[in-house]
Formats: sequence, C-alpha cells, structure tokens
Amino acid sequence: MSVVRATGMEKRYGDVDALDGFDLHVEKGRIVGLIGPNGSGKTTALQCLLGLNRLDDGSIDVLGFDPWRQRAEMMERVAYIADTGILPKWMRVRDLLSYVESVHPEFDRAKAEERLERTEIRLDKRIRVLSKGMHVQLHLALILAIGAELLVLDEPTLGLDILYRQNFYDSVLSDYFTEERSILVTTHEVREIEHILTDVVFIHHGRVKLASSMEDLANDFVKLTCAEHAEVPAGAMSRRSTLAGVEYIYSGIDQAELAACGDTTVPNLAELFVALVGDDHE
Amino acid sequence: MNRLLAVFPGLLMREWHEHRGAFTWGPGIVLALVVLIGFVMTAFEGRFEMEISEVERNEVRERLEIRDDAGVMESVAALALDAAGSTDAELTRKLDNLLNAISIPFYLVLMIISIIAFIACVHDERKDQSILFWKSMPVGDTASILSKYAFVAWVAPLVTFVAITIAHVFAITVVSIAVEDGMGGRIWSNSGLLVRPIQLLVGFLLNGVWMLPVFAWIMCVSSVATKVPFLWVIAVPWVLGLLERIFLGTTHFADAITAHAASGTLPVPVEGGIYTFGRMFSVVGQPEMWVGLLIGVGLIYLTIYFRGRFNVI
Repeated sequence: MSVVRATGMEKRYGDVDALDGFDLHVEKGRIVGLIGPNGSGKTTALQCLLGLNRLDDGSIDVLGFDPWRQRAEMMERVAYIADTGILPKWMRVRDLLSYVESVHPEFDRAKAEERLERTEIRLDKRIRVLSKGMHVQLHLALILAIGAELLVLDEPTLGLDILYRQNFYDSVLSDYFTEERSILVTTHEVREIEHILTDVVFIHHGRVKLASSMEDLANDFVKLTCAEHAEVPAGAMSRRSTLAGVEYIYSGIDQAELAACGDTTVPNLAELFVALVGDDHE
Repeated sequence: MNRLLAVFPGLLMREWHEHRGAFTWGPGIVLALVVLIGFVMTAFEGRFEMEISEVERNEVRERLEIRDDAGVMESVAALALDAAGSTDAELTRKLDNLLNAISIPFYLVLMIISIIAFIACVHDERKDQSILFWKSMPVGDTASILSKYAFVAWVAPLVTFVAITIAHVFAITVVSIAVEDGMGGRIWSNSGLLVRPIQLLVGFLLNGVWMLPVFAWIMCVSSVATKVPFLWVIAVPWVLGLLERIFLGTTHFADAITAHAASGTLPVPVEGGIYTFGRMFSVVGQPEMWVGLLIGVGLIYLTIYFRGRFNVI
C-alpha cells in the first residue's frame, strides 16, 4: 500500500529549479532514504510532502491527503523531526506535553513521560536549557508516543555526538518501526543509516538520480577492486584510485566476468552516490 | 469546525504559557502602584484636611474630570473631603469618574502588552523555527491564528479585569475610610461595584471586536515581515496617510485610524455623567464598527494565508 505517492513535483525559486519533475514513492513498512547533496532539493521535497510548501506543478498524495490543502488532518497520521531544534524554546517540557496531549488525538502522554524518565530531561525544565541531544530526545519521545503511520526525518541527528546518533536510530527502529509504519529519512551521514534502509532515492538538481530497493541495488551494482593496470571491462560508471588499488563501479554487468579481474563487492551508498552524481556535481 | 473547537482550549492554554508573564506582571505592577498610592493617601489623610483650603478644594472638584494619575489622587482627596456635601447622584458620578480613572493605567499597560504580543505572534515562531513544530501538529493555520487573536483580545484581559476589580474595591475602601464619620456606607452604596465588573467584562468583550482592524493589521504584519515588524506596523499606514495628504490633500485615512485606535468601549471618565451600558453599546450602531470589522476579517484571512505560506525566517 502506498503511503507517499508524489509524481512530477516541480518547484521553482526565481531561476532555480528546486524540484524538476521529481517522483517519490514510499510504501507501507519501508524505510526510504532520500539522499542528495546540499541544494539538491531534499528539503524542498520534504516541505512539499509535509504541506509546508506548495508545488508549482505535479501531485502529492500522502496517506490519501493533499498535504497543502489538508495539512492539519494529515498530521494526525504523520510525524516530523527537523534538522534543527524546532521545539518552542520558551516552553517547559511539562507544558509541551500538555499541549501535544490537547491537540493530538493519538498522543499517549504516559508513554512519553515514561520514556523521558529514562533520560536526564526533567518535566519542569524549559526547552531552551536542554542540550541539542536532549532536545532531539524530547522530540523523539513526543513522536514515539504518537505512533504516526509515516515518520519524516530531515537530518535528525545533525550536530549530535556519536552516542546520541546511534541511540536515535536504535530507538526509531526498536520503538517505532513496524510493518505497518514507514519512515522517510534524509541525512548527510549516509553510512549511519545505510544498514536500516529498505529503499533509497538519490536526488540531484531536483531530479531523481536513482530510486531502488536495497535488495535491487545489490543485484544491479557491483564494485570491482583491482590492480592499477589490470584489464577491466569497459562501461564503468566511475573509477577511483585507492590504497588497495583501483575501484570501478559497474551497473548491469555480468558479475562472473568481473570476478576474473579482481575483488567484487556491493558498493556502499556513498560510493554509489559519488559514482552517479560525482561528475555533474559542482 | 468540530476539530477547531476540539483543539481551541489547548491552543489558548499554549498562548497562556507563552504570555502569562507579561499579562500577569503588567496589571500586577499597576495594581501594586495603585495600592501603594492608596496607602500613602490614607497615611496622609489628616494632612490633606489641614493643607487644602476651600479655594483649592473647589479647584480639585473641577479637576475631578482629569484623567491622569495626579488627577486620580486629587479626586480621592476631594471625595474624602466632600462626601457629606454631595447628593447621591453627585457622589455616584464622582466615584464613577474616580474608578474609571483608576482603570486607565491598567488599560494602557494592557494595550502595550497586547500590541507587543500581536507583533510577536507569528514573527517569533518563524524566527525561532518553532513554526515547523506547530505545523507538525494536527492544527490548521485558521485555528492557530484565531486562538492567538482570541487569547490576546479576550482571554488575557481577564487578568487585567481581576486586577482592576481589586483596585476598585481597594479604592472604595480607602475612600470610605477617609470620608467623614458615617459617610462610609454611602460611599459603598453609591460605588456601583456590583454593576461595574459586568460593565468591564462587556467592555473588554466589545473592545476585542472594536480593535479587530488594528490588532489584525499587526498580526498580518507579524506573519509576513522578515525583519522589524514593529516598524512595518507603523510605517505602512504612515506612508499611506502621507500619500493621501500629498496627492489628495486630505487626511481621512490618518483621521480614521487615529479616531478608531483612540476610542473604544472600555469604561473611561466621561464628560458630565456616568459611563453607562448604553454608551458602551453605542459603538455597535456606528458604521466605523462594521467597516472596521470587515477590514479586520479581511486582514485575519490574510494572516492565516501568510502563516500557511511562510515558514522560518
């Protein structure tokens, strides 16, 4: 079942095409990574999906809602954590819980408080005194107590130390994700989320550069590592010299043929991303 | 509509959490000053009798209509000195003017705090990026903006209402102690303290409607300005007024705004009489009220539109 079905998304800011016919599909029970460099259109795409920004052209359906026209209704079933601390800093934690409880029909306050008890966040503290890590912990506690069908994460661990980052994704996986729920996540730290993704979409200049499940990626792409002057088949997407030798990335090639030239492995997302967009990225 | 009503109490409580400091400290400080002035006057009550001559007494009587703080103090002195010589109607008029005059600093402080709250209402949430959090909740822009307006226009003034009522009871107590023996009962019975709170509440209710075009304009600027919203609030109408004056040679726009902002429905001292419900409700029959309402609704609509369209600054 489709949770997000966005087709032909177009958004212009002056002369710049932030989104240029971008498509995105998220199915139920999937974790989709939206990966792209700065200015590639990731945030604009997420904003349009969340009803924060209006498309110039194209269509978006999120759980049967038009985000721009039905944002309030849609947000009963969609949750969102942004890349910066967006919780109101003047508010006390307790008052924030009361607010969410009063406006969100799906919010389980006891669950949120129980989770906060396991942290150093006290209910009488103002949000402005919380560290960046605690801020994210608090936001996560709210989101996990809502149990939305779609969770949108926009660089949620930006600026956090390694412990908070690891803990964040562990919590999302163990306390939120089920077969009935979906996650759409963007991040620069591709390696950090690679192991949890079921699907990946590369976005560049507002267009889809690659959209694939992680299973298909393993079948479709291969990395060959071989000696500097080894004979290799033509058609490599990229070539990169490393200490271990030269790395080539191929798409849609007979892997048995490559194995004769050197070591073959599945490229990680960062390598694949560089291979796909590296040449035309300024 | 049901959804809007369901979330409205929570939104009002959110506004209360954000603004409770200003809307309680403001009237609280004014109340403390009124009480302080009252105590000082009570302490020096004997000296007033000794030092104020008959000529000065008459002067004070004439100045009962004065609407500043000094006038309030002298009014109290005059009442204390002249209760026995006044008819019930005169006493009622003097007390009415005294209590209404005491209310004025409360109104002024409330107005200043309200304007600041409206200037910040959308601008601040855009500036600290919390607008993204508010929008991630199942609450529409219409509910958000209407709750902000309702809170500042009608809910927050309830604190000021309580403070004014306490100040009035205190003032009547001071006056009843200061008047000649046996006159205290007349002060209480002519003070109108039972009707006055209702008058104040209705005044605040109507004032929230009367001030809609002014407040909605400020909210609209708050939702669209990226910098110095306060300057935009003043600059745009000022420039429009200036253009009218330069090109048409008239000042209708500036006059209308000034007259609208300066008048209202709150009980203030009135020339030669008592502030009545009739006077308060007379605004309902004025075309300015309905024209203002139309403009205000339009500006609220624009505020809702801009709040949906713009995010962080």
